[in-house]
Amino acid sequence: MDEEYMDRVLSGDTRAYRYFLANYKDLAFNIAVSIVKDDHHAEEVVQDSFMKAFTGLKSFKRTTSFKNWFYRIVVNESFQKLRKLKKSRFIQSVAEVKEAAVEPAREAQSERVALVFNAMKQLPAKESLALTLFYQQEHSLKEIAEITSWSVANTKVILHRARKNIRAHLGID
Amino acid sequence: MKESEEFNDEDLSDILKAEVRILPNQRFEDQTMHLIRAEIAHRKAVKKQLITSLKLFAGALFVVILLVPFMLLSQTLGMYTNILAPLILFLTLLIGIMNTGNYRRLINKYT
Repeated sequence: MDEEYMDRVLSGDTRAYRYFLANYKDLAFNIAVSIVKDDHHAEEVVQDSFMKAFTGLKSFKRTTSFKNWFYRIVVNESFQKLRKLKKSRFIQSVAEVKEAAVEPAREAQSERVALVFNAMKQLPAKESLALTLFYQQEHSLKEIAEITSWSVANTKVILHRARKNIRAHLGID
Repeated sequence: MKESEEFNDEDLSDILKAEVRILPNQRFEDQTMHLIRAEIAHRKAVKKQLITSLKLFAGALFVVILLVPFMLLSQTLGMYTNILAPLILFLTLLIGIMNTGNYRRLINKYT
């Protein structure tokens, strides 16, 4: 299906790109949030990634699936954003402001979801990304390695550490 | 598959799946499509300007090509003694030919 829509976009049917927006925006948002830890910045990252994917579609070699190629763009854009945010020392103030804005909405959700949300926020970006890709989106270790440019061995190490840390944060034995 | 078996964790998987987020901005698709259309329009405009610029550049280059033999001829006839003028024209011609490659790359980028 992706192939068909890719061909349509490449032949000039810009509207066909909506298919990719509709199908991948939420999963891409989850990946971006796991890295930048902020809804507003994650949305910016997803939008930039869609723009990059659109302009780069012509040069996409199709040796991998569109999904993995696109997620790789999202991961790269997210880490780039994170570096920029860290550099400008903006991340702390943003986190404080956003936390205040997000908390009332979170209250309505279950306590457990809020607990998971906060635990994921406290994990290093690589670890929360590994958890999101493996447990939430059910990617294989090979796919995670492909998306993140990590080796499979490194992916295992990060995932092992992430699993241990999140279980500790959530108080799971 | 076997490789990932050591990471199988039903509890964690269920907990994290319950935490799946949905992009809060309902107008995200429209906004992104608007940006994409703007990008396409921008690229078209840039390409048009580049082609116009290339045409003018090619015209100027053509004039230089026409002038060089006349300058050299006039110099040999002793009517024009300054050697700098034809030399500058010749160098301009060389730089011009080199620059057409840059134009080609720019046009390819915006096509």
